[in-house]
Amino acid sequence: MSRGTPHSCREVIKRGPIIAVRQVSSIAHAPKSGTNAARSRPAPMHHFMKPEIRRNAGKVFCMLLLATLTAVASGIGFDRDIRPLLDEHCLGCHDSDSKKGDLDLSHFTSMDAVMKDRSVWRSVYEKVESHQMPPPKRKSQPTTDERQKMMSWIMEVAAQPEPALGARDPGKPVLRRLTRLEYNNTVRDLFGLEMDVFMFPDRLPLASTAYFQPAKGALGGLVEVPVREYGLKYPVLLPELGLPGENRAEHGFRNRGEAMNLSPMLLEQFLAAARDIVNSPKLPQLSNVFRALVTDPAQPLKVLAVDAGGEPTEEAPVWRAAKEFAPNLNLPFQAKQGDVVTLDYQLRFAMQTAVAEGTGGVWDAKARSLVVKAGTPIRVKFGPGNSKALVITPGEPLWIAGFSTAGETSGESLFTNHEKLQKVLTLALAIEGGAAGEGISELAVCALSREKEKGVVEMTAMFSGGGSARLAHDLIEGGGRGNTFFAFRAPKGEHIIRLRMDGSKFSGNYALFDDLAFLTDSAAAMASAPAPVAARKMSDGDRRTVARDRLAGFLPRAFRRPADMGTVARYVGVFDDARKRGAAFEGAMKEAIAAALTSPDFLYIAETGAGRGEVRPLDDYELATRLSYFLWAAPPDDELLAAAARGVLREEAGMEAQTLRLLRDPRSRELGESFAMQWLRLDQLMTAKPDPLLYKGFYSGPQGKVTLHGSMLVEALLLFETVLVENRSVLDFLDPGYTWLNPRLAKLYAADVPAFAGKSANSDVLTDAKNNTQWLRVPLHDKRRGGYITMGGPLTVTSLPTRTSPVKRGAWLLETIFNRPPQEPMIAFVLKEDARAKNEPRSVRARFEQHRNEPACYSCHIRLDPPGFALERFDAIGAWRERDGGQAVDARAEWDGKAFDGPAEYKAILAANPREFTRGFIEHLLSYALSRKLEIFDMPSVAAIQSAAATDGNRLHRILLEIVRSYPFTHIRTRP
Amino acid sequence: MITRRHFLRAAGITLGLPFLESIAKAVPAPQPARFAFIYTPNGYNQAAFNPKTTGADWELTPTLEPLAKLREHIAIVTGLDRQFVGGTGVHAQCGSCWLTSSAPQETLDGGFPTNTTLDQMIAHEIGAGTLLPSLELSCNDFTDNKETRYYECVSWYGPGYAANVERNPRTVFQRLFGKPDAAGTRSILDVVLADAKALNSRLGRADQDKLGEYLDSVRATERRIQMAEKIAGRMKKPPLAEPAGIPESRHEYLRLQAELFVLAFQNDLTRVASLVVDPERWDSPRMFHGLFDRPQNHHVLTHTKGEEAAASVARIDRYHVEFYAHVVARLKATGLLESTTLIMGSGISDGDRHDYADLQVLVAGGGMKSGHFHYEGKRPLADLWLTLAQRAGVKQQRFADSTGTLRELAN
Repeated sequence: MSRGTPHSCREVIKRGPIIAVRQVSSIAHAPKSGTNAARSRPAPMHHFMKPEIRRNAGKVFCMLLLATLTAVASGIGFDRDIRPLLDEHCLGCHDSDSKKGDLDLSHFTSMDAVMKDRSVWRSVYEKVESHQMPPPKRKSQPTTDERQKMMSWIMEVAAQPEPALGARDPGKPVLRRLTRLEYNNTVRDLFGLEMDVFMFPDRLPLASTAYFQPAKGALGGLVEVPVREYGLKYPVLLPELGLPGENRAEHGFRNRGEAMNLSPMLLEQFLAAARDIVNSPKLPQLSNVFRALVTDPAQPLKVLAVDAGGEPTEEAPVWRAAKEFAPNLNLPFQAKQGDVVTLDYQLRFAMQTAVAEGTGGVWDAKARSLVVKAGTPIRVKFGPGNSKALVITPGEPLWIAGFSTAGETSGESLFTNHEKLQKVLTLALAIEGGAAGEGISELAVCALSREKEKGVVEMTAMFSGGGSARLAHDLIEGGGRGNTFFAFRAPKGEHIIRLRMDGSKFSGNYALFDDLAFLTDSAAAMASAPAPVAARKMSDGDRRTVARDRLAGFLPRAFRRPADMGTVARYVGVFDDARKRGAAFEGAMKEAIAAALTSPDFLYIAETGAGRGEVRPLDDYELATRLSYFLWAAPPDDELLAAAARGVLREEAGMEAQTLRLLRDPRSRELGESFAMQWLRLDQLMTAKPDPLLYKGFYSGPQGKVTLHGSMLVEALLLFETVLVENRSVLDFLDPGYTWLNPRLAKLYAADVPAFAGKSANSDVLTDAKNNTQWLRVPLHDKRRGGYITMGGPLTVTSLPTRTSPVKRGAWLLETIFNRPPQEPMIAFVLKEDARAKNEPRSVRARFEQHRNEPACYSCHIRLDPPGFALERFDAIGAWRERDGGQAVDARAEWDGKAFDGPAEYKAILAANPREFTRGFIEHLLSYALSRKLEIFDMPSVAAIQSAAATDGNRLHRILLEIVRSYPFTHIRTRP
Repeated sequence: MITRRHFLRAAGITLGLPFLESIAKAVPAPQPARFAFIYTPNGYNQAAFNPKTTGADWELTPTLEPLAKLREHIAIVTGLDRQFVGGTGVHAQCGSCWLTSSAPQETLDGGFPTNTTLDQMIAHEIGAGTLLPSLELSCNDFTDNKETRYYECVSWYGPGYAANVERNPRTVFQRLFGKPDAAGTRSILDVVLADAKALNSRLGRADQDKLGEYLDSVRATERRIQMAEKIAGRMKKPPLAEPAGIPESRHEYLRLQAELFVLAFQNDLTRVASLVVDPERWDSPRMFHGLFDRPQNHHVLTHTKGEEAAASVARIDRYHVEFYAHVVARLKATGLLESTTLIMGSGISDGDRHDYADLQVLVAGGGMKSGHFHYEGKRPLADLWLTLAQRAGVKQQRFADSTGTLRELAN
């Protein structure tokens, strides 16, 4: 995407390291004879070398190369060596008269002139390297050695210190605002939410990401990846909130600073979003951080008492009360029907206080599999020294067990009916060993949703005064998606004595419940309790002091760096203003927080640290921010900020340790979801709509509603995540020898991956995957399939609804795999068809060839067409084909001067020269990391990262580590 | 050249004449001039669009048929040219540089000649007194942001500084007719403006330019809040119900977005609007409700050989002309047509050949002449834009690569 640095040293390296070393040194000492020596001798040596020697030679070479890059050392002189080449091969077209392709090289008459306008040489390098220039049809071509000399010289130019800076150019500072994704993640992490803030279409539709556990270091062979139907609602903080997304940058990612604008309209949307967030009734319920910020200090939070803990035994139905209500559950819904005062977010909060005071607890039904007979009391111990117990006596057999389908949301176990379909449970409730008259004043319990089951769950609480209250909620389908909590409060002076749980309208055999929370009160407890702090008089001045202290703690987290006194005072001013307008403490704090979320210090990533000179190293907080937005698309966490405060990020070991820690955190999946999906252009897959009549295989289910979009996305994502989690070679992206399949995708690949048909060596593993949420890592026995080039997603996203498009596929490949996107045509119109040939029936191939033979088109299409031809073996949704319409597919072409037939042979040619891919991949990733387009002065950094990666098996972690310690990642210009 | 910073700020500082007065008063004052620009992507089917005859009795071609009853108000302008700048996308330049004030050689934006667009220049001239100096709308409801902003934005504040388009009618409604919590918002804007100034003092020049977008936006918002407070006293009730969001039907979506700018004109909340009917290229199929029973990919159709595809392109063109006719009729019905110049066009003529020459532009109202005007040979589109700019009071003798005004069009 980033049309980045022309690549580093492929041409040099592919001829064997020794050649290049000799070449460089020989040019330095004896330019004329050296060129011959370089061409004739070393090649055989290369073949005789053992692999490890070859690798070491590579290291030595790279060191030498870098040494030459940092100074004008090779001795290639502009006047002596380069100008004659320009004269002979370039200026015929690229002088001030012709200016072909809008390029004039004739004004480069000295090194000074070159340094003043270096950027153009990047594209010269690319064109010379890929043999696009001089035009291949031109008779007089430079020798290999001359080509090499030109490239070495450009690489040196790239490594030169920028004259105006007196140092290597690390790139200008980029003030950029957060992307929509980053905004979501930043608010999420700031308040410690476990769900997205709002829905946005670039969030992949995965119903659960529990499979992604990077700390394990392996993905395994079978993973569970449930996919949501695209566009379906899912639990978020603010389902109604929408913010516009970014357009991608020209050949780049959405996070590119220069491509993002802010207009009055967008500012107003950010302001409105901030207000919506702080005023969301769910936010205090879900965020301790937020609650602690906004709660009136006259009603302070109670600190949790430490519980000694202890596991319950399975033999006797006795549990110890848990301290928190449903900490593992997202509870998107609250049953609301009925006339009871329902509890809201206060519940989780109130539980903490109650546990500390010994007036409540939570029954977290934990057991492997335990059946409690009807009438057998269950005791849940709570209170000081566990002296009290909640006694639950079920009226029907109760089954306490682990349910795998609910496991992901509800922890390991739950309680349900033991007998199938008997989905009504009645529980008698009492308190044992408590104060006189102690009973249950408030009660809450969670009803859990499951995959493929849904329906109404109804609960009735009966009170000691004879009354009752009923709540009902229609649970939606999907594991955890419809989790609902039911909460009751007894009328004053009464207690809750029975609970009837009716899941008879819920589909499936079992109605699932978990986390029964209870609060007690008693006349005695009331009387002896200390006066609540709320009653304490608190002056407005004291409240203001608390507000200031809280904001002083909050703002540095919101702004990702220390906040000065003046800044804090400004936000206290917002608090004051709101108070003056009559807002309560809570409302005033919310206004101040909304202001912080609208501030440029929050919305923009600014690198403003002080530094002397023209170039400075980034400060600790700037590094922390770059690192976390690169790896997580999210702000630094407390540990990273602490590392920044200690100053360890500027030390190599400290940076490495933090980088690896961030990679072990599940948030690193954004690298796949944000970077990889954009890199591969799969963020566009969801809107690809293959023609349903021509490509029936893409659609299944009732009315063809089930599509392959989700499966294709997951396959691509899983490959990236495998390489990320298992720290594998990035060459796996080209040819991993395996792929991830669910039964639906296996059907699409049936023609060339026979495994799922049950007839191959793979059949025993493959039958493991029973449903489409299960993904198997399937070994591939030939190279037709495997890697992104031959994957369903990319093949579909580059097709038209009714047919394949070799040009789109070729362009995708050049851009994605090599980061050498084809140049936009210099002419605005496509060539008119030759009138004479108009009526002759011709194949697609023939028309391509005619077009390619036009001089204006040749130099691009010589690179553009062959990959497209190779992939003609796949139809518009990526299924293997032998014939297209009536005709046999012709997938023959030439690449790098080698003939091939079909994708396997094409991939083999690419595999023989992997540096072209690693260079392209590193450029993409570096551009994403820097949030900017790469420039000519980044070429040496790309080369260095590439060389270092090559010595470590091109492993992804190595590349990531090299990027975060690279010069452009750690330095910045002080001036634009 | 007006710099982009100067641009928004000037609009923000000058608080203009009382608004709505012309409507409130019993004796109608002269209506202020208004301008609206509607952009359609991917060119037009040339054969079905271009009338063979010029003058008042232009041939009613299939695409132009919906304009039959509006002849006296409409000028069909054909034959004006633009110049393609090599090296950047053909579709990327169509829309983003349609209204640009930069000549093709002036590529200040990384190869693109984007610059302050005509609508923004006019807004600068006549928009300072209204709630919003200009409105930028889009009916692009694709959820995949697959293309760059060059494909989606026709309105630019300056080189490389696109005006974000609003796709959601509800948000447009709220900006136009909503009653902001003025005191609270002002308090927040004060503090973030102070943050921005503090940040600005620590930034380098290029970043200051970027932060300038933020600073100007805060000031523009402050101004809007101030205006909205005044308007709230006069306009008791919004002239339409708050839209729920983006209508399902494309037909309704287009008309609702247009209705919003027509009502904004009528209530003098803005005097300049642009509306991107659909973004350039954007190869995602979309529904044209009532036109085809299956989603269609407009861009792909323009490059598909055969009569069937050409006929489909013509149907889409006609669908857009029908929409244009609807807006003209609405302006007429609300008494705004005499004061409002309504433009519709595309950045290329033939979509298949990406032809930048011989463009089609529809002009209605604003006291312009009617009839079919065809320009043979080379005549830059910028001449039309210069004509409009001067009519709006912009004191400029040149616009982009203009060679003069089109006197025959202007009364």
